Amino acid sequence: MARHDPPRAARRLLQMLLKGDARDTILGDLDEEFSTDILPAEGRRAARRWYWAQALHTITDRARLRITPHRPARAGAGSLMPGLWQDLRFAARSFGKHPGFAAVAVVTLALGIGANTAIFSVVDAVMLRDLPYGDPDRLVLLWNTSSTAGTQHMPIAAPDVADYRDQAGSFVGFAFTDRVRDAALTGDGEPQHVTVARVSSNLFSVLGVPAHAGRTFVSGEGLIPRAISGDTADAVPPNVVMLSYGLWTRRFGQSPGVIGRTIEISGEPNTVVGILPADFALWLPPNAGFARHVDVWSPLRFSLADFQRRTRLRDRDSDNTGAVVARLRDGVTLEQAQQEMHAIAARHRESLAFHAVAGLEIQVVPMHDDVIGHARPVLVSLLGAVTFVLLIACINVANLLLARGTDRRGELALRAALGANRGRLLRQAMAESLLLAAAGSLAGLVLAQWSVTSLVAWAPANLPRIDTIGMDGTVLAFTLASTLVATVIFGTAPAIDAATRRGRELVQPRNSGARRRTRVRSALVASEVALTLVLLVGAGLMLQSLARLQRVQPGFEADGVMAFDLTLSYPNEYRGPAARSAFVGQLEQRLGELPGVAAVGLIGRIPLGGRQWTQPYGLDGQSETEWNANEANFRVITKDYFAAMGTRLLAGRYFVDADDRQDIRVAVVDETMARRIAPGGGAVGARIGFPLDGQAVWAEVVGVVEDVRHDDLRVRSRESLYVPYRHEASREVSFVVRTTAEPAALVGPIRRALRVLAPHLPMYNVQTMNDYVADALGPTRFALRLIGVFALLAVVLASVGLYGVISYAVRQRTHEIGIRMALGARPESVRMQVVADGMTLAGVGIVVGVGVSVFTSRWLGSLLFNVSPADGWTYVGVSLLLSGVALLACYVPARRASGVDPMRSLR
Amino acid sequence: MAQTLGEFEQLIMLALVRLGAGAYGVSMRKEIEERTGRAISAGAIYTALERLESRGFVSSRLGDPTPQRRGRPKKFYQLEPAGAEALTRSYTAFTEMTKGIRPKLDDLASQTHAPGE
Repeated sequence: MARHDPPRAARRLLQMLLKGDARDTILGDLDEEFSTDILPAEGRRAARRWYWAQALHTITDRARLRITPHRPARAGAGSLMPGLWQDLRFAARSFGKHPGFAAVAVVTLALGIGANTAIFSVVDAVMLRDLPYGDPDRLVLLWNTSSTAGTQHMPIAAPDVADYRDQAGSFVGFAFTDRVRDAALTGDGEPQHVTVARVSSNLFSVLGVPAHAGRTFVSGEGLIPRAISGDTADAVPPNVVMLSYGLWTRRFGQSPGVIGRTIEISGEPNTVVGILPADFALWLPPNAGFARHVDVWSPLRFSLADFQRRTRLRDRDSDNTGAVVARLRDGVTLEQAQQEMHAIAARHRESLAFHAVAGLEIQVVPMHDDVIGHARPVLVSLLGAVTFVLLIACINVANLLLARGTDRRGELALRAALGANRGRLLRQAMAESLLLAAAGSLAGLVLAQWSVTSLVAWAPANLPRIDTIGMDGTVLAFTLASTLVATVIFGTAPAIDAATRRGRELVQPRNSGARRRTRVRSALVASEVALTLVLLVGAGLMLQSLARLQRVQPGFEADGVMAFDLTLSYPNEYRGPAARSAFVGQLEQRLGELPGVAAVGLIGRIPLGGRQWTQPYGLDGQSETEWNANEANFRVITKDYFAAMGTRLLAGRYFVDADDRQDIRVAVVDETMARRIAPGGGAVGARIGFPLDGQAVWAEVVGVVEDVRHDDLRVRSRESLYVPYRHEASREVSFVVRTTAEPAALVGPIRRALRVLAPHLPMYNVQTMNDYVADALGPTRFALRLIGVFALLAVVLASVGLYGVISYAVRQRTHEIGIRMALGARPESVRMQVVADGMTLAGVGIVVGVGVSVFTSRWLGSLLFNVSPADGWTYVGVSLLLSGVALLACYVPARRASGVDPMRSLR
Repeated sequence: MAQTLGEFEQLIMLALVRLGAGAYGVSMRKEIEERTGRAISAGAIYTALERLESRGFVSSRLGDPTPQRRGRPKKFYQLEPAGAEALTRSYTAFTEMTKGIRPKLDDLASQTHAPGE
């Protein structure tokens, strides 16, 4: 059982660091002791702690014992290792004497390395790790794109998949999954909301995922080609399901007895045949509109009727479109597969009218790229930002070390005079840097481990696989690598400085390299200011994006609205549109009677809820085939929906009770569609055609409402069409309740009202409209928070650095300042001079930073909203802010300079 | 060349003598931990053993893999004559130097503690 294994990361660390025989014997010993002694005696947690302690001690002990000479050390040159050990010990002693200096350096490095490790662990989990499938590199996703409607990531119709299977030789398997549905786990106990995905029986074999327990589906349990060739209406195969590991744990306490048992889903019996592995999820791109968490997997069963629709209109909400996962045949390249699918798409366009009208093309995308593609901009930007923070941290430490080198000039010169050669001094300096870096990276790891928790909490819901985040071997290797790179960056200048000391500095009153050193340090500080400016520009642009995104009019008033979803599906109830409409009417009435409720409405797909429903439509005079070139959001609503949501009416009227009559066809459209219908205005009264329950119908436009951002706050939705719920009473519905009181206080009363009417229906997605809006702001807010934190860190580090260099320069020039003051210079002019020196550095940094930002802020690209990467005000504001901070950092040492007592400084 | 043994090396070789034929990492570590109360890591044991082996004091052979070890073989160690000789030398030196000093040691130990109490 996986849960009783030793900690994976510790094992991987040992595997990485141990070599040869020793690796096998040590790992073998630890595994044996772990499983036979420690685990049974002390339990899993203590055993895992024990294993970690053993692993870390093993590594440090081996390193220490190998470095320590086992015979009395021979004095003198010797090999590098013992010498290095000696240098490290010497460095440790010397830092011990200046704990303040060491602490500042270690904390600075820890911040830089910790931030890098934390962000990298996110990048690792989301982008780098393989998807949890067999041979995942060979998996691709197939989508339709429509050139006329300009749509990407369109689900593919199941009959098309059957054609692919017959005609395409580039693949070894095509698996199909339709939209995830909501259902209720009924039977014993409180009804529980579950999500159900219906998939082709070969999905798990195409993905290469075995069952955790029981079995996966076998062919015959809802196979596509059989159903299509469908000359015989086969006997219905047994209704079987697989459960997710999560549901198995939550509801059944991981009981193995559940396999073979019959459970009730929305009142229908289903036999459980298997449990999926704990880490299994079907990863699809979030904008494809498939729900992320699936509790129940059921093999698809197509009814013949679905396929006979094939020559008719495409009905995107029907059962027969979905996502397609395929595995490339060995030796076939992605390009070859894509070429073959192009050819098939071309044949379909010739033979099928709506393929031609919609300009349907088939796109083959590597699964991993498709799933994580949208997350790339955020992660790449964040990785860039933390790299900058680490650079700034390194520069600060380099500056500290250089200043310290000046303070130790006596000691270094003495060692040079006593015959220490350059190599020796260089090595000593590098040993100091290495020690600081090692301490910094250890502290950084702790910091990272700790901050990863808040990172995950801050992460937007659409960041895939964020929950798999953890410190594994890859992350540790990255930390090690970044520590080494950091050591080289911050250690080089101080090491060269130390190595070029001369014995004669002992007797020279002023230290000869001071001017050169000051120049180096000034350059370092200026670059630090430049890097900080770049981060501040990034944070400023993100801040503007968030502010503008928050000002977007979503097309509804989110304040005071509570929402929840229901799935109207239960045996012998809600059968047929009339029964569902009747139920909805009753529930709306009950909810409307609750105290504080101002309006109650229903919609088929709630705005920003992440579910799509689009339909072709036609304008007056267009033939049904031509409809396929148009695509609109299709929404069924009840009459008070707009009032409850606060969506404004621009022309005509909302729906009224009389519209529910089945012989009346009416529709409300949004502004965008109104413009398409009648560019000059006057859409009310026009006719619009769309498929309803498989039939083409024409309806009269009775009203025009404002545009609503259905899918994403950032982009305008496509045109939208609203029809009365009674005319297409879907099973999955969202209720919105507007209240004059606190929306959250309504949850209890709503639940009680529902229980009276339908005790077996679970409510789910119970949240306020403001929650939906907050989720939509999630990715922007995530990027802003992190870039903001990093920019703040950069400002602090850079001002500490600037302060350090200026006060160092003041100390160096105490003598000169004393003379000038003795000669009558006024304190103000001395102060001015010091501030001017500092501000020159900051100014150079800011100018360079602005130049760099113009390039780097383009990386933010798609993260920005309505703000140009070269937004002038942001640059000006950020430059002013940084100048202010720099002024403060210079002013403190300047005051000290003007307080110099000429008598004392000259003595 | 003077073949001196460190304290840790002595502990390891003494454990080998005590355990006889069945001595390998886990059993040696338990033996030393139980008798001396010193917690030691697998890494430390094997580093010392490798070093002793390179000096010809101990020798090793691989045993059979077991499932608890995930198929990894055990590595058994035994004392070689040269090792036994070195250990004897250290042991003799130690016992000669410690003869009859226990009362004096206890005395010293109690003195150092006295002022603090």
